[in-house]
Formats: sequence, C-alpha cells, structure tokens
Amino acid sequence: MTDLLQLLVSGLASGSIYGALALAIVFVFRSTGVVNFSQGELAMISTFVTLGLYKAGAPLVIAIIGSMVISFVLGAAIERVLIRPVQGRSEHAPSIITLGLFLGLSGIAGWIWGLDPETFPGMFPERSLEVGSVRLSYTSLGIIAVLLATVAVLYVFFERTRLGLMMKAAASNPATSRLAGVPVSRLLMCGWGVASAVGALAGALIAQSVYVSPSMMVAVIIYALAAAALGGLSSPVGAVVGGWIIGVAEAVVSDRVGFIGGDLKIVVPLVIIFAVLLVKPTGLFGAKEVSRV
Amino acid sequence: MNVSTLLAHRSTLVAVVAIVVLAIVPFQLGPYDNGRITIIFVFAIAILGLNLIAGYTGQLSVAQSFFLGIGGYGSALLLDRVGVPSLLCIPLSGLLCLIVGGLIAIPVLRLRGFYLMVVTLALTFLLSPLLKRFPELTGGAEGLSVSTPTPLGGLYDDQWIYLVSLVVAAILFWAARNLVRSQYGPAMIAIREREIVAEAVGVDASRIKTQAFAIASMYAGIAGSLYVFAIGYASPDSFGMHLGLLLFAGAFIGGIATIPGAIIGAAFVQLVPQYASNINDSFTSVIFGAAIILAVRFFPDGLAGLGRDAIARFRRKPADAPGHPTSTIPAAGSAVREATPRKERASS
Repeated sequence: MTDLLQLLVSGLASGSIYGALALAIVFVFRSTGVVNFSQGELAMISTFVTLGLYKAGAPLVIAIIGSMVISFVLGAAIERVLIRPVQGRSEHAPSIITLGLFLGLSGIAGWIWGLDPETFPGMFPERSLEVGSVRLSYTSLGIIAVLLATVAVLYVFFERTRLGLMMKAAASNPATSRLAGVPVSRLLMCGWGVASAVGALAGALIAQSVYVSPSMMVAVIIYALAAAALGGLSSPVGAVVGGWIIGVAEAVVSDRVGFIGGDLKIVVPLVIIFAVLLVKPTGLFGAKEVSRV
Repeated sequence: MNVSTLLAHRSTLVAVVAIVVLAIVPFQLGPYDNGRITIIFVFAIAILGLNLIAGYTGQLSVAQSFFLGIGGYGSALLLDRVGVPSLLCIPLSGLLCLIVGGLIAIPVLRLRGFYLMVVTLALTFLLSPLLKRFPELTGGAEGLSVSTPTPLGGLYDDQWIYLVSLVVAAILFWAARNLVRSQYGPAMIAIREREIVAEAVGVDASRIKTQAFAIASMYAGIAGSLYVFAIGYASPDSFGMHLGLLLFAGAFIGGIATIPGAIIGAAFVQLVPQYASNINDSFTSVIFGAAIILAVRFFPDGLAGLGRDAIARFRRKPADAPGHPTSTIPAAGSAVREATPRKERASS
C-alpha cells in the first residue's frame, strides 16, 4: 500500500510536468484553434534562455520571469509571421507548420547551445517531507503547487477578465468577434505569447528532473500532447487532470507490469489516448465538436 | 503510332527514358554513389506511400518510419531465421506491413487530424524500445546484420541492389499512378476535402481510409526491406521519430499529392543531411524545418509544383499557368489534375 502511495505521488509529480506543457498547448488551441506540436521545443528554447539569464547573474526567479517575457515576444512573433499567413488555408496547414518548427527549433537550439546536456539550478529545497511512510520531496510538491497556481491564474483569466473572454471569443468565432469590436489579430498573437510564457515556466519545472539539452522535450511532448488530448484540448483543468492520469498510470504500469517496465512506458499514453478517444472522442473535459458540411 | 498519340503518352515516355537512363547509371558510378541513389529510391517508395495516405486521402500520418522499421526487421528475420530467399523477402515484408498497417488503421483512423498525428508520432517512439525488448529475436540495441541478396549475372552487390530497388520503385510508382487515376483517386480526394459529403455521395470513407493506410504501410514496408538490404544491417534507432518527420517533411517539400514529388522529396531527405552535416550536426533539422514551412506557405504543391508551373509558363499555355483555383488543402489542385482520366486529354 505504501509503495502504491509512493508511486501515486511520483506519478502526480511527473504528471504535473506533462500537465504544465499541456496547459500551454491547450492555451494555444483555445486562443487560436491550432495544435502546436512545437510547444515543447519552444519551452526548451525558453529553458536555455532562463539558464542563460541565470548564468549571467540574475536570481533564478528573475531569470524565469525574464525568460517568460522573452518567450511571450517569441511566441507572438511566431504566430504573426509563420502561423497567421497559412491559417484558414486548410485545417492542417498550421499544424504542419508547427511540425516544421519542431524540427527547426531543435536544430537552431543545437546550433546555438550545442548538444551537451547542462544542469539547471534547483528551484526547491532538496529535502523531503515524511508523511506516514510516504516520502514527499519538496521538488514534487513545489511542481504540483506551481502548476495549480498557474491553472488558477489561467482559469480566472479566461472566465473572469474581459481580455480572457475576448480571447475566447476571438478563437471560437473570429469573424463575429471582429464585428463586435474585438481586436482579434492582436489577441491571437497574445494567445501564442501567453502560451509560450507558460511553456517557459513548464520548462523550468521540467528541468528540475531532466538535463537541459535540445532533446530534453522530445519525450515529454508526446505525454503532454496525450494529456491535452485526454483533457479535451480546450480545457485547462482537463490538461492538468489529463497529465496526472497519464503520470500516475505511467508510474504504476512501469512499476507493476514487468513486460512494460521502464522502456516501453511510451505505450501508456498511446493506450490511454486510444481508450479515451474511442469511448469519448471529445476527451474528458472537451466541448462537443460540431462539424459543418 | 503518330505524333499526337506519342505526345498523349508523354509522361509514360519520360518515365521509360528515365528508367533506362537510371538503369545504366550503376555501371558508371562507384559503390558509394550507387548506394546513395539506392536510398533515394527507397525513400521515394516510402514517401509515395505517404502521398497516398496524407496527400490524397488527407490523413496526416507521421508513422511511415515505423512501418519502414517493421518491413526492415521483417525482412532481416525472414532471411536469417526462416531462410526465405532474399528477393521473396521484399514482397513478404510488404505483405506484413499491409496487414499490420490495416490492423493499426482500424482504430487509428477513427481519430481525426491532430489526434491522428499524435498517435502516429507516438508510434514512431514505440518502435525502438519495442525492438530492444526482444533482444534474442532482434539483436537488441546492436541490431541485425543482413546479408545482401546474391547478385545475378556477375553484378556487384551495390549494382544489384540498386537495380532491384529501381525495378521495385518503378512498379510501385506505376501502381500508385494507376491507383490515383482509378475510381479510388477521386474517392480519396473527396474524403480529404469533405469527408461527410464524400460519405453522403456513397464513398465508403472508413473502408477507403483503412485501405489507403494499409497500402501506404505496404509501400513503407517494401522500402524498409530494400533499405536493410542496401545498408546491410537493421538497427533499432534508424527508424525513429526523426526519420518519420524527415519523410513527412520530404513529402511536403517535394509536393504532397504529386507523384513526381515523391522522388524530389526523397532526394531531399537523402542528400541534404549529408551536405548539411558538413556545416553543423544540427543544420539538417534547421533546413528541413525551414523548407517545410516555406513549402506550406509559398509553394503548396512542393518543388514538383514549382517545376510544373515553370514548364507551363515556358510553354505559355494559359490553361496550365499558375493561378489555378486554389483549394482548401495544399496541393489539391495538382491532385485533381493527376486524378483526371488520361482519356479526356488524349481525345481532345
């Protein structure tokens, strides 16, 4: 039982990492209707920027905030320069562009920063809390706390602020929103910007457990995409819950199912996506999609 | 046969001349260059399959490298463990991937757009650990070494596998051309453009999508078989996400939903990394990323489309000139043209 609880905790911690990146994916999808396959690579670039600022002498918190600002600009620029011109051309064109970005950004990072992994400074104390017989590391707790705070901020932003509501409107019906005086174009850029900033935060969290390198997100992005899909793509809460489900399932399956082990755990998100989408194609928290002929 | 009939069969003529020229090439070049061109044929077959499922049917799959791996390992095992003659391994791995692809397609193609891309992307991650899980069968991380098919008639190994790949590629290109010109072509395009409408007019969308996916997988399987014969070994990490993305990018750069685009895309996938790595190891990804973005944005019919437009402009035939009705999907214009029955043009 203790073991299972311990697995649950470590699953929640890694699930929170997937959820954090899934949150960025959901944010882009909600504000622009595009699934950004390059979200992980963008977050990787942000993490390098954070590390650079930190090495230049900035305190870690300032480095992360600085990187979030730079990432916001980068994300907005990508939306404006690369995504916007092909949006509306076809349903798939923006996704294909983001796949191109996936390749391109990893190449650029490798070119600038090289392929050698670097260590990222720890954000939380390296101690752990003993609750009964379960050990909770401050890092895991910290990741979960930062994630929950981010979701709360995003929730309030989307549901309670004028800007958030306008963004939702701009994404769901650009033409009508434009007529109603919503500055749609600027908001779409804003959506990508905010998502990239969230990605920068996710990158710092992810870098607590992996080395910083151009390939640091390659494995994480599949889990994050799965988490976003599981949560229904448009729900921030869904993204987080999706991330947790996948993280816990991964931890339990790789520990308990000998055949899967640590190597084949990529099967877990694959099977979960299948199972959920076949039973409930809109994901756990997604809105029903209506297809027009 | 008069001149106009000859002109009507222009593309066949071009193809025959190209095949004859390509058949002479291996006797003029060394093993290294022959090997490089062989891999272009192999990638062209894989991208052609991708064109059928992604370009014509509109189901974006990144998993072509997965099936390349299944076909490659299938061949290696059939040859080494079962003792199947090597030339027979090629169609058998095609058949294997046709079946595996068909089985995977049934659940996978219920997913749409983005979900399909995620699941196929995940498949490319799955292959390598899956292969390493059964080391006694697959040789684990070391992979399997594969003996090249015994050449006929005193040819060298590299010439033989080159010619085999050329013949196989020619047959598969011919088959793909006929497929998209048959009733399947318009049905596939209809599914891509508006699946609901396609079904409303009597296209059995799920059957055709499954078949197209299975055929695309078969193409990849045959390509994988030729690949391991050409390289001489099957390694678990050769067929991962990176190759999957490069093939996907190559298809769009060459011209998705164009048949000649597959060759151009394959040349891109094979040649660019070799030159790019002289500059920097990461440069390949930069070029491919930039190229696919430019292709989607500025030349949705790919390099094949650019070439065709240039030829049309040179001939000053307004009907073929650029400015044809832009479709909602990259390259749909060319696809419809490809799918038009040849007879109409011959009779006019």
